[in-house]
Amino acid sequence: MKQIAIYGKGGIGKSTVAAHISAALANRGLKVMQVGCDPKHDSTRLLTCGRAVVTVLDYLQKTSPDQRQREDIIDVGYGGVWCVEAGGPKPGVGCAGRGILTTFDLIKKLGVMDSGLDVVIYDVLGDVVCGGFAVPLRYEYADEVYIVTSGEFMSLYAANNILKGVHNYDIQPRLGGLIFNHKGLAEEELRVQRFAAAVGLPICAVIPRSEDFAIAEQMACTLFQSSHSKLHSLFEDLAAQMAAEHQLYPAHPLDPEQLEELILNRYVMPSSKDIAYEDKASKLTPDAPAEKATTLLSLNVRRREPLHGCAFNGAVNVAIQVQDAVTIAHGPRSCAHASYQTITSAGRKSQFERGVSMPAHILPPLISSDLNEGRLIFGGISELRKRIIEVQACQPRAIFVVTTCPTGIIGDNLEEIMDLDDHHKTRLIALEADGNISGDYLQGMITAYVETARALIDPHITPAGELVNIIGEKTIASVTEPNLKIIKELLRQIGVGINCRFICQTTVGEIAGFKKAPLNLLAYDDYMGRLMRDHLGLNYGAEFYSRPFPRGFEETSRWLAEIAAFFGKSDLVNGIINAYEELYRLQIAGLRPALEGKRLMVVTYNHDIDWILEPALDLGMEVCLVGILNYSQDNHFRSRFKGQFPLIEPYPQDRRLEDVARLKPDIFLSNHALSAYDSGVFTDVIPLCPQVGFLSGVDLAQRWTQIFRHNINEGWKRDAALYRKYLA
Amino acid sequence: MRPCTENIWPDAFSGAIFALEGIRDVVVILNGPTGCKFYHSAISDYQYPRDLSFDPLNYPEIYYFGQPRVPATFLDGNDYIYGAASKLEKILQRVGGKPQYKLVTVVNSPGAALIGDDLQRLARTHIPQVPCICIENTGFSGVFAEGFQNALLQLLSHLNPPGHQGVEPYVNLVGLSIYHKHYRGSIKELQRLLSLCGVKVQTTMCCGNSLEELRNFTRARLNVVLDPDYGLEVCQWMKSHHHMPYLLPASGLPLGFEATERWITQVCSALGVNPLPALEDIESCRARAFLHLSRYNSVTGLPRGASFAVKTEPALAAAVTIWLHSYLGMLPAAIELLPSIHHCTAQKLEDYLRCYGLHQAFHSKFMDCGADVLLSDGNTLGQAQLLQKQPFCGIEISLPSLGYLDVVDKSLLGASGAMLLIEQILNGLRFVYS
Repeated sequence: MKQIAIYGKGGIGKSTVAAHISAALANRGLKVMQVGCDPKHDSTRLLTCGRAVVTVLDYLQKTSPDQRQREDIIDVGYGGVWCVEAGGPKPGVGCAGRGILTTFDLIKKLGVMDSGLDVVIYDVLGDVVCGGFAVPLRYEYADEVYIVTSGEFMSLYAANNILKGVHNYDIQPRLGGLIFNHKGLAEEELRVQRFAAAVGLPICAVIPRSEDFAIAEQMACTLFQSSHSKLHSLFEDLAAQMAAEHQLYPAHPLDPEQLEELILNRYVMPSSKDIAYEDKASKLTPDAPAEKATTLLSLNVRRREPLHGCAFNGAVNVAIQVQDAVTIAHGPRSCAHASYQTITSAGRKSQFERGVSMPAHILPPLISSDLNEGRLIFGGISELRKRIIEVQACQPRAIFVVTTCPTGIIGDNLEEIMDLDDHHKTRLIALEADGNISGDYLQGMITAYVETARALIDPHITPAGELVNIIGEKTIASVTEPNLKIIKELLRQIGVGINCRFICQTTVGEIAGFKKAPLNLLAYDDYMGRLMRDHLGLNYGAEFYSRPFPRGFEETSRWLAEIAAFFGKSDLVNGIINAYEELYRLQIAGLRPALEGKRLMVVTYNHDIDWILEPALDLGMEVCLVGILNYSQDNHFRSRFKGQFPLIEPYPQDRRLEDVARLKPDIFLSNHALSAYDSGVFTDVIPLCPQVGFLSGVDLAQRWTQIFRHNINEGWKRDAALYRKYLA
Repeated sequence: MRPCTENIWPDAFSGAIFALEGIRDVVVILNGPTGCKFYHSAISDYQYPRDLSFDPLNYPEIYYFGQPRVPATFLDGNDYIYGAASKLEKILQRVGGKPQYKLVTVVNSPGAALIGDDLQRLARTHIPQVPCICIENTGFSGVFAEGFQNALLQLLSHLNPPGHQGVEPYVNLVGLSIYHKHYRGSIKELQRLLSLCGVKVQTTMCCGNSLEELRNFTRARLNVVLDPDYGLEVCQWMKSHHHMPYLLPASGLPLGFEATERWITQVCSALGVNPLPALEDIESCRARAFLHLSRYNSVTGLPRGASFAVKTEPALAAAVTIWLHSYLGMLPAAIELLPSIHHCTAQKLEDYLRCYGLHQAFHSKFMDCGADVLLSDGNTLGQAQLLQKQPFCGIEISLPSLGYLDVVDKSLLGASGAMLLIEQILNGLRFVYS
């Protein structure tokens, strides 16, 4: 079986040429199939006497997989030619390239290629615009490629692009040559000849302009059926040439400048601007001011690093925190599934380990629009509308729609659903994350924060009362709810309440009333926290307290005192702090005998570790090294103890075993314990999101004391050899 | 707001990845973004651990992103426009060249599947010396089991095994994945019962075998289908391409004593070996179960009449429902089935329930009607705990898990699977009826 792909610019006459080649091959007694790879599905119209063929993609949409049969997608045309049309979406929607991939997949699955065919002709859309339209060029398909062209510049430009596509795919020469279809332009033949010579291809046939084609088109048949045209022999010769063994050529496309010079006799001047791609990311300061919503970028995106996670997932993780809203993941189910399981993993863990229910993480209000292949080819907006209307029946206060990579790629336009936004009942909020096309996980969070604020915060409310908002809690950290409890209690003691948690376990109403609170508290002074602080300050006039949730005695004392001062309640603070100070000093005194003089090494992603350093230094421990790892969530290491320990920032990932061996710390602290395989040193784990309050860090030191006091050595760590023997 | 959401099940994309991740010395390269990678790497590592630590610093290589499994090309917006050929070239050369991998597989993420990079050509060009299979499109929102079988079929058709031998009484167990709850224990239990009858298991396909063990699948005399959604097409393919007979036991999954007895009897009969040693083993388990059930029943009258609900895949749901009803005398209140390929299993279950006038359960949901026992996945159990006012006992029979770490392998299948379910039900009912 020989497979031949016919390419060429749209409207150049490929389908007419392809149909006549198919017909001529069939006249030679060969069993021929012609596959039209163009959404407008009229490649085989001349072979079927104008009869429209059921397209493969329509067929796939309407037929269940177990009922699909080869005969259903094949229409038998002139000379017994099997006519197949891929079809595709309407212009401007869906993904026609994916449609071609799907068509070829079905043809293969139904065994069409194993049906004793002699020749398959692929009639492919204009240009090799994407991977989908290049499928016929793949190794298992086209044995030969022909390009139909006229002498117009754009036609030759397309031909040259097709050569580039062939060049990308070629392992061996596969080009048969050019088929020159006359348009009747001046010097047209000369241009085609120059082009053919430059790219090293023969002109296999010259098709003159002829009324015969117009007559045949009108009769919806080939020249072989419509007349005794002189042109019969032209296609017969071409078919004979294709059917026989003959020389094939490699692709040698021209540069665009060469092409213009060759065809238009025009010299292309080099650009006068020498564009220097300055690496602005490296010059960014940690706290570059936010100007407007569209310029808020995650650290990962700004640094142009490989993206960690996807914006879709980040946006979903924020949106599901609005308890009276539903989030629709617009895309295939796999995207929603992965997101859902990531969210519920924290909920299951909390429920199982501590018996604490985190409703948003146990029953996240997340559903999927479950786009299948058909929807992705033809566009998924109609399915999304249906899903939104279904969800509206559940009467949520808001619906978030978050887009995935596939819906981003096919270009589903969420503007088309915004007529369903109902300001009085259910707000509709579009989060166009487009999977990771817009960026990483944190970029998605930013999008969700910004768009939710824009849609829901009531700008007319004025601050009043003794209320605070909490900004930027880590929604999946297990410590978030226990920390809130501590903060809530500290605030309660000075008579201050919480207005809105932006955005964590909150409601549409609470977000709407965001501006009620005169003061805003950052949960974390990390990159995201600072970004939100700047954005909410700039756009909503939100006043922020300068420090994040406090960890350790010193920080918590100051935090509480300053917030109390803001609300004019300083008189309530001293008693609280004195009580905790007594407790802290007592605990440090108790731990000191076991830990004094011990060497501590810390390698961590945390950029604020004063809550560890404070008790360690108060205990008289020696901090022999602090290594700060590069982290997508922060870029601003800070410590009030700087200068009291050796610091490496950023710390190279692969250096820690060497440093542990060199420094011989008594305790190695990291976010994960060193493997038992790797090291004999005592290691302990510090959480990425630590506990807040007066006694953070002391509890950790309590644990080390126990271990040193009892000289604990685990027997299981001696079984590494057994692991290797039985399981590795 | 009325709750309108429920657990979102994995689709064919995850099915394909977990199929290939279940083979010990195969690497799955994901041609996709890290957003698709992190979850699949974590689950593969959790379900079929091969590494000692979760510490991301142990896996510093660029494509691994701090995880031991499923290296990825970390596609971004530009790659969707310009194609991912250069990233694929690099990852193939770097990861594909590692000696511990006997086969390289490349799976496109849903986004990558739309852009149509020619994976096979890139693999042929850049790692011509390494066996490689590429799955360009696992399907969008397709059934998980379909993705699993399609990946397995592609793998088998690539393996070029020796001709069908089938002399020794070896079988292949087909139709379990590493995403099945207690898959390891279930396989061990079936291996144990079969070995009592002198039958060996050549391979379980994608549940921890090496590529070499899998390559020799033709050594088995018989392929035994466990769950048709996960294994029937594969067995049909092995029959047509390698002339290997297969058995689809009428009793369904070997879950519960009677189904296990019938399953063993059918397998042994097909192989011409004596099933008695295994049947005796099951009998001894039944005796022990009888002791406990009798004592429990004498005090409480239970488990007879206790209600239960099931939400899982059809083959598992059918096996659990029929056994709990026929052996323990429990009454199905709600049966919710996940999407499947073969609708006959669901039909059989509905027919069974109709026979006993219980088919209403087929159209009921646990969240609406409640039940004493709910057998499902950890998410559904957690949600029921949040929403259900009445006490109930939750038993995990599917993933994801609530998080209990199983150090001892447990089984859902075979005699020990039956014992485990009885143990969980009896203890659970104590809570419900206390």
